[in-house]
Amino acid sequence: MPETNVYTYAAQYISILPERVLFAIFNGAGSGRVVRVHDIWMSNPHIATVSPPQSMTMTAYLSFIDSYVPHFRLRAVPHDMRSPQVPTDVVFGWGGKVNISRTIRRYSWSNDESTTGESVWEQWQNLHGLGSSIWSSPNPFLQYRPTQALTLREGEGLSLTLDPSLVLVPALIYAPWGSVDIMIDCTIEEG
Amino acid sequence: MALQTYTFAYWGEQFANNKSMLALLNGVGSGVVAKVWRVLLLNSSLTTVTGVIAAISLRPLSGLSAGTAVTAIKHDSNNANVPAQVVCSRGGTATEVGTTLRRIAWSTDEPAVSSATSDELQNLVPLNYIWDAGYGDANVQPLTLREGEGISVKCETSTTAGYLDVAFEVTLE
Repeated sequence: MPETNVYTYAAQYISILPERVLFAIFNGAGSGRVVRVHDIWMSNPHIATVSPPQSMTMTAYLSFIDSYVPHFRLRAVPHDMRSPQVPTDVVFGWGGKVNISRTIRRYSWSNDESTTGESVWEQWQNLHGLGSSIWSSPNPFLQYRPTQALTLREGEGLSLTLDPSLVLVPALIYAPWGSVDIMIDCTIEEG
Repeated sequence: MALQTYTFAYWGEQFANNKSMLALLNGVGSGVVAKVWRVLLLNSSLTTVTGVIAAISLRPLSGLSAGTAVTAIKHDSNNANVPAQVVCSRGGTATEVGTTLRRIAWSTDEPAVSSATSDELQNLVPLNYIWDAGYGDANVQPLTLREGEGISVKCETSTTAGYLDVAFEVTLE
């Protein structure tokens, strides 16, 4: 069975801010590729204390987008180092601006920090097969794949953004509202 | 080869007694068979509410009218458009038939930070697919909606506290 080239994009310690683009991947015009996003994980890596009223339940939106200007761009990690380089027109990053075309999922999230000796929402958000898994398409290597992964043609992308109406209570220390890690697995195929 | 896939979803539907929270009908004349692979519920109450345990059921339909239309999201923009006879709505009037497929007890209370109750567990995505039959297994059929057939996620309890997210993942053939 011919292998499809698989890549992981990962972004660490993305701080919580209103309307923050936690991640976006955009398949720009001219890439000559189709990007299929199969899995997305969001975990809670925050260790420093987030105290009430800064700790709260917030909302993140997984959406298709039609443009992306990243604040910070990150490289793909190929699962096989012999896989082709990702075209420069395929952009992954965090922060910046996206233009949302349609939202496909919404998630509630606690920004409180993870601690030892507890079994609460924040710890579950770090269980890779449980709270961290926010999107899972059929395994791309199953012979029988009934449903499609999230498919990005040229000029299309996918983002996870925080609620623009999120109201954060100011605090005295930097990044008091917690952070998230994002990991996505995608295949990049000839268009 | 994956089939053309669509998500029908609504975020933040308020509970009400005997309310069809989200329903999908493959109307007569559509010319397609709709197959429902996954049904997902999430607890989307962000503000404080006095929640109750509500009975939420997944039920077959033979008719759907009124309500507010919900548009399909294509998983691939190259997919065909959804036929007009395939309709999805929230708060609609559903004509139920047959037997309840699933019924679950759902907390309508809001999730809270540093808590460990069903309110928070209802936000862990892999736990909240109330229908995931045959996923990736060619031997098991999904929920197959022929023309004139549909499904509804229904609130069977008298409460208006809290909000629910519902998503149907569907292929059309």
